[in-house]
Amino acid sequence: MPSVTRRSHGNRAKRRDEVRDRLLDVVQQLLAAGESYAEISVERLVSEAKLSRSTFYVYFEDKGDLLRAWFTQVIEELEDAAAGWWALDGAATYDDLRAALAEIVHAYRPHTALMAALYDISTYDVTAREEVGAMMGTNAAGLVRHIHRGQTEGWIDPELAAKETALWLMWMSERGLHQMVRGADDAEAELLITSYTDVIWHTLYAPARG
Amino acid sequence: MGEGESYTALSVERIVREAGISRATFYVYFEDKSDLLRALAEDFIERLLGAAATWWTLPADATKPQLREAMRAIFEAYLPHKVVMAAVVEVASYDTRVSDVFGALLERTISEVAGHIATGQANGYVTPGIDPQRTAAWLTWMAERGLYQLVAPATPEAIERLLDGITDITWNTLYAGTR
Repeated sequence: MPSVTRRSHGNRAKRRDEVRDRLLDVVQQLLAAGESYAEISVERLVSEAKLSRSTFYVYFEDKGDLLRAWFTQVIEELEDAAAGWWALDGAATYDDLRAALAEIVHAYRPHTALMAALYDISTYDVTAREEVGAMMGTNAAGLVRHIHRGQTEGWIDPELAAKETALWLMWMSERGLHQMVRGADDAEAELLITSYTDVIWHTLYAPARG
Repeated sequence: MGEGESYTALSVERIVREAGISRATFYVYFEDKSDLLRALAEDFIERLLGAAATWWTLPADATKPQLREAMRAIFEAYLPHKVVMAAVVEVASYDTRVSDVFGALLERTISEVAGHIATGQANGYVTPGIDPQRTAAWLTWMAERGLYQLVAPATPEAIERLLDGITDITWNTLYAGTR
């Protein structure tokens, strides 16, 4: 019997993912057409996605819940991308750093519209705000560990206040991705990656390389 | 708002009652609540840019402690008005008149910082080879979000450490390589 229960849980999760993806496709189309997430009603979403209202509420509490379900998945992609940066060490060159940061920017780019919607709702949706905050906390902690390791091993400027430097740089990354990379074409995105690399390289690594 | 209320939830009635003025007086000067906020934001922006000018008019031989004092001036212009800034960020998410004012602040700041970088490069006191406009944009967004998220809620001791952090980043990115 437990296997049956498991399977039905599995089916429910699978169905929820399908419904989520279908709804998010609609959301992306509407956002691309210039609508704001706050103004899109659940009625509108389900009708465009050709689903029933009741189906929506089987899987999601509300519109915020739908966006948070998406975010849970995207966080993992972004954290995987950031891991390439954390793994750099004293042998890393400017080009290695640029490649690691490019991976983060490229992981983020397909999601800019939904990420913007999430920031919009997090001005009034407490749960969404907490999740954005938790993501920032995880990323900042990763960067703090990276800075400590580099300072211990002698390849990051020993004078930097690790925690505060990490916090400022994390918010720089977050706002830069949100405000500048969103809306940038491919060529502009490459220029932004270069200047992003310049700030990080000169702040963390250049002083320790003489 | 200092007591945790949101600007969106505040009514004009409530604002005029607490301020001890009449509704009619309010509407003589302001179209609505957003108009009031825009006026407050514009005033705030002038103060903030005035303080930030301490940074981008630093002399070519400025030291790290001088940069730190310039950053402190920005913090000190920001902190007394952090409630206005929080309201601007909140309302800007749905009111384009307010987001336009906010966008204009960022544009002006970025262009001032970019000018400082370009001048410094031409005169040998800012890191050569970095892109003035885009580097300025990353640093300006860092300052904007960091002031709002990190500095506004910080204790006085934490503010000193945050000052160290933003000074280190700005110093290393722009000046350290040339000294």
